[in-house]
Amino acid sequence: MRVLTTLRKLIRLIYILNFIVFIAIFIVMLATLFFGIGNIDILDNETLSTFSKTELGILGFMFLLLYAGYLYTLYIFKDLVYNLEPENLFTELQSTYLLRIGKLIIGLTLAEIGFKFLFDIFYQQEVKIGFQLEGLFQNTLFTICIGLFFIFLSEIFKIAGKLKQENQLTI
Amino acid sequence: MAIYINLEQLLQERKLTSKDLAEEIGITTANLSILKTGKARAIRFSTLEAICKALDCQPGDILKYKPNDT
Repeated sequence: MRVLTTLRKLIRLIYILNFIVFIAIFIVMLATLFFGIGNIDILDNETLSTFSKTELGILGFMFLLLYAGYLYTLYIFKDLVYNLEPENLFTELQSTYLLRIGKLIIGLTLAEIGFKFLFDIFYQQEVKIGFQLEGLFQNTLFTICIGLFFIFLSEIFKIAGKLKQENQLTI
Repeated sequence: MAIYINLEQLLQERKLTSKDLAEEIGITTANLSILKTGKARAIRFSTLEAICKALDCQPGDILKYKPNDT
């Protein structure tokens, strides 16, 4: 089970790094918006530098909210990966985790799309509708597909769990 | 379930304990208990054959059908 061990280590590393980044962004945001420490110019964005503090606050809050959602998804994924053991498979907990991860991925992706859409309408007075071709993993439709796949996997785990139970109760 | 296992009576008639039967047919007492209490979802032909051989009976003596009162 070398793959599982590597996966666990990687997920934990990604989670810790993201958690540190989240805390750092949170502190920078608080310092910039509420205590006047730091400079908004560090964001190095022409559009953002024209924003008022309230607008930046809303933007930052939405960003942090989405980031927290992704972090929570990662946390559940980490728990799931640590719960998966060859002798402990297809449990109800694992199925619940998979379902939750799928719903979170879809929900957060849709929230991000909605947020970007509203942001463009209010602050840039333009509506962008398009299909991203930069990379498969930057494609929001593909991300939604991954979310749906997790939900499907959850159903599979439920069926497999029932079959496993039946097999265990066959004498 | 309408199908139930009539092992208790067969064991009493033959003055055997669950432990004796489990040992003879090569399953654990825990699994035999699952079978006796009706918690089992299915029974393998090999298990049924071993029980029939050990108790000198027919499959019909072990498995009984009793319609549910619904």
